[in-house]
Amino acid sequence: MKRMTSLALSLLAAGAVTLCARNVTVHAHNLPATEVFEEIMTRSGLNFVYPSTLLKGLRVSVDADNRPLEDVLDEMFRDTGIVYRMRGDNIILSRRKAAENATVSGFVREEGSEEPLVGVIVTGADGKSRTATNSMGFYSLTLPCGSQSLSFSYMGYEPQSTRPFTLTVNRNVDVNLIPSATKLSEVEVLASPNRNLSMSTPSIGSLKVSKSAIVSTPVIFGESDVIKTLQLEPGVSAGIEGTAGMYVHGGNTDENLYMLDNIPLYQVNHLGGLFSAFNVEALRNVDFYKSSFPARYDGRLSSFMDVNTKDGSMKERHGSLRLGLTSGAFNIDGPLNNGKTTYSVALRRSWYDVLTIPTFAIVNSLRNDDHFSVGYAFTDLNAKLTHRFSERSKAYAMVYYGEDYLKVTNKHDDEDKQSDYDEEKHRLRWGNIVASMGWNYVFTPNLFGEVTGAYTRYYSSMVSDKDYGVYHDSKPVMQTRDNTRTENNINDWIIKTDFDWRPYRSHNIRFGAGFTRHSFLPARTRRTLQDASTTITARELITSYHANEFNLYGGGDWQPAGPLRINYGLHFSLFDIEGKKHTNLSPRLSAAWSVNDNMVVKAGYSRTVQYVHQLMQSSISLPTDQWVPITADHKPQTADKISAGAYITLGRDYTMSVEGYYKWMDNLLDYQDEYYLLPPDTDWEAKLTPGSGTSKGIDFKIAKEFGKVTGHIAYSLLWADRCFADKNGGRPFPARFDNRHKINLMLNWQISPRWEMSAAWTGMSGNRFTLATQIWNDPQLAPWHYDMLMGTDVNNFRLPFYHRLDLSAKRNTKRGYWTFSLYNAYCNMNTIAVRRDYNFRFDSNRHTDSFPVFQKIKLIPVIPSVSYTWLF
Amino acid sequence: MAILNRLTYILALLGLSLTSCYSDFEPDVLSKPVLCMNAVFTAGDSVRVELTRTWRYDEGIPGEDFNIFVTDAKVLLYVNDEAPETLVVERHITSDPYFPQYKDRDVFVSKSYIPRPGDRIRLEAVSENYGAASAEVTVPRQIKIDHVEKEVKNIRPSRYGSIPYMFDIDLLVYFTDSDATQDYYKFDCKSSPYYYGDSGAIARFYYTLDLTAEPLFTEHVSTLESVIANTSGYSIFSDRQINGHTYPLHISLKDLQLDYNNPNNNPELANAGVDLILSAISPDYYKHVLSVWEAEDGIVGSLGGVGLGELVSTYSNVSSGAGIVAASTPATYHLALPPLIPE
Repeated sequence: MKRMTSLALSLLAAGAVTLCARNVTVHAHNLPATEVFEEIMTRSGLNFVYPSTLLKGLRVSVDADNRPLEDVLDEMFRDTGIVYRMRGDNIILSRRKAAENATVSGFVREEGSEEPLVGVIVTGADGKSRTATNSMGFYSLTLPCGSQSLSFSYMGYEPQSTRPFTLTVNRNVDVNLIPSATKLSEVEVLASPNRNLSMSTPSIGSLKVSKSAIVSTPVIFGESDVIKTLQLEPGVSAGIEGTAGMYVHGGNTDENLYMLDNIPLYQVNHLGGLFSAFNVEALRNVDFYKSSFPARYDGRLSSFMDVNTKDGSMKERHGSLRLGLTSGAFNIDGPLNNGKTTYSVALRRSWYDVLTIPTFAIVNSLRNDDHFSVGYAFTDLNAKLTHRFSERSKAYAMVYYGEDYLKVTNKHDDEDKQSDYDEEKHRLRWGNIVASMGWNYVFTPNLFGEVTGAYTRYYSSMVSDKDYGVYHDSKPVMQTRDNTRTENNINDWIIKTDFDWRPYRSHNIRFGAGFTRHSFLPARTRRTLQDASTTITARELITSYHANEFNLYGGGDWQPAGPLRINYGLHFSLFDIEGKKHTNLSPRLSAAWSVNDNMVVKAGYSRTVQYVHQLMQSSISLPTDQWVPITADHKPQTADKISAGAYITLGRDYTMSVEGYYKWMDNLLDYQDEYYLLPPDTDWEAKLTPGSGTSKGIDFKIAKEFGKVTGHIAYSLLWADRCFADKNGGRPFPARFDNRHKINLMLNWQISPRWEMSAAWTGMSGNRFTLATQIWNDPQLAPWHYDMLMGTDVNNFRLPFYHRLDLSAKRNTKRGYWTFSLYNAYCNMNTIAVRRDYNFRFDSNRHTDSFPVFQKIKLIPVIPSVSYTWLF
Repeated sequence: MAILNRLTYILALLGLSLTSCYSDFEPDVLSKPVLCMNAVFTAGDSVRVELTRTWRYDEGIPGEDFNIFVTDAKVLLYVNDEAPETLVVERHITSDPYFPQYKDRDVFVSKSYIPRPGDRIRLEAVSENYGAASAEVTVPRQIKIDHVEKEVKNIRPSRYGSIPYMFDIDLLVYFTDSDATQDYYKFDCKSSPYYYGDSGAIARFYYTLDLTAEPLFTEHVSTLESVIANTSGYSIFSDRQINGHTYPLHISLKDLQLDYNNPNNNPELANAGVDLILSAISPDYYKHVLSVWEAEDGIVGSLGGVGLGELVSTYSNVSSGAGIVAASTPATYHLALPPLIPE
């Protein structure tokens, strides 16, 4: 009677059960299912057909106002083990076949900002079933039905566990993690994204880099830089002192695929490579792969780096303003539209022109006939808009713009306006634009999908005007004018889809496809010569290519037996250019065997293919660098790599890894010998020569990721060589950054909530250098006398051992934080090259004389820097 | 101006590094001297071949610390595949106080052969101590100067009391390139000797040769190099942009001051002036000079010199890797200056 009263009151209060088409209104709280269904049948005319014992003891709760019947039934039967089918006016209820497994899925975000957290470790009740969130913060974990619970752990955040629940059907669990102010000093979280990668996946040589890790790495001028953080990893060479170069396992710098939210970025350097294009204020985290590659990645030979940018806070507006010695940065993000939409904007700009323009203005004002000025600046702008349609559906639009600009003017004038004058203006711009839109959707708890459309552009423009003239009656009259304009760019239109599917508990499959329309303009050069009477277009060259690239991939993680995990994949690519279709299959396979809870051994093979490559005239980034495609005349570059490793956890805090690899590279392209003797506008293909290369080595690392003191010690051993048909006379030679031994020590100490200190020491075998020692007699055909250098073997000399210590300290204040850093703290100026010069000597009569000597060029002493970041 | 450009380059690359330093050392690189062979076959001129050995840079200063000339070698000269002539050693006297290595030297000469356009020449040399060296070159066809247009400008008071005024001459040196061949050129300007006549007759002049107005002289310079590189003094070019066309080279004689007195006492004075020389040069000649420019001033060489790029070695067409065997055929146009003296 009491129950009937309760039901009646509920139904009456809700306006009873009403059925409008297939919509129903019903409100019931913890009532017997039979009573609710009978009432619905009475009022709606629908029949519920079920065995009499099916609903025995079952109580349901539901709140629905004019909602679709299916939604209401879903809600009522959630976690009950009962399923339904609709046949006309009959709703047939039955018990679900006893399921062995069900999937728990959801998103993990940061408390407060609601930013998705990437790489959060999600562990089932057995402690062995685990997965990690993807770049959208989504996870999917298939577990045995029954009593379950989930625990979520992530470095720098308080761990969180759900209350035990009975898992009978798929369910959704979203979690927000709270940042840990004490950085794990009071709570112990013995799981991290990188420990998970090492111990729980077949992945070899993979790394997740958090924003905090990047910020705490000491760097030159205090400009936090993701690439400089990666330089401290084993197997990654930095290249030239101070720059953001990255040479992975003996590869070249253009063999790394840099991505911004999974969209390729071609130009990743500012100021000749001193800084990278990734503004740390805009990024959320970074995924880096150097040995075994997921099937979704291809297109480069050596490594893949995917930078995920911030979505923006869903709760409130945040921002920061940073003032440093070389640049300033402003960042703001926050919610729009009641938190369903978020925005994030980050702007960074260098200061150099602020200093140079007034300096040259003052200098020029003191001179009458020569005027000279230089202006340089780099700018980065990241903007992102994200909208959440529902918990399952999210879309975003992202824009990145980064540019370097250099302007040089030089004017020589006749003070009396009687003779001649000349004026030169040079303007150089180079940079990237990336625009992308994406939509991701959780189709089912087991299936996550994303579709992306994007445009990415690299461009370089150099314009030079030279005027020569004379004065007639104190008026300038142009005599000749020389205008040169050179452009090169690459434009990609991209559309692709990616899916993450977990069909079985032990199997996670990722698949997708993509299409890219490439437009290459390696060179558009126009030179106009003009005198008083005629204009000659002396040089006009346009070389452009269009290519279509199609990619299809599939692969997955599979755990066929308890201790064995396998990652397999296949990436198919088709590159269609000039009527020639290059097709390639890139298989990937890696396996991990858990010897015990503390040790895993792995082995893998991967093949990568590269269709575009960068022509660089030097080891620093210049606007003359060109991105060019493989054409009908050259084969795609390929690399086959085998790798193996062992991973051991030592106690609670330490992880040790040893990874070995051997890589074969074919169809590599490089400038041939004496290419610089060809005219500047020569077709670039005529300057190249195909070849091959190998690299092999061992990476060793011990990392401590937990506690107040964290860090790692890394050692890498490397051999890398190249062989090209028309370079070095066809003989093999060592790669430029064949740094045989490299040691890195990284230490981070959280002294107190206010103070944090970091130290990074790097020691490595010096870079290779081509040193010509023999001189031949000058035939005096050139206008000036120089030493005639005799050609020698490429990279025949190894520079002295390189070592450097960088220190930084961060002091948190109420409104932000100070960063103090010392680059090259003990001022060991390292040798970057060898030059020929003259030094003094004394003869027997104490007369001085100059004597030819080789000299080491040593660069960059201790450099202190300070910056302040204001948080709001 | 060039210095300023250079300064920009240095500032851009190294200035940000605040400072750098240098220290002497002896690199542990093994290398041994080889035979170097230098010769320029000029149509109508006698043959002279210099044989030297290469030396390690820090070995010292050649000519001062050691002798580099090789005289004990056997040098054979082949012309158009005919029977070779063995060159003989002869003392060549050209003292140069600034470069001791160019003091009087022993060179190999031909007693009978004078190069002609179209000749295919091969040199082979063998030295007991420094090995063998060989090279081949073809003497290019002559390209004549069609005519020269002259314009006198900017007449202004001279800086010297004895000369009343100075002026500039803009020249358009017309020539017609052959479209049948790939041609390389070098432009040069040479003053005729001073004239000292009897009774105070004198024709003496000073000027600065200005090549900056001619774009072909910088055709090897890329856009970025035009910002940072020094191109002064170089006057080599190819017919790549003017193939088969008639083209005027823009040349200026700047700040020309002519000391020209009592010409009637010596009729030869009226012919005093400059020789405008357009030489057709062999491809290897062009490449060699270009490599010298690239090594010292081009972007690849400049960056290579500070460890940021590849080494640019000097171009050699000799089998040993040292030396250049080149050829040229000059065409001369004499520009008499006295008729251009403004009234």
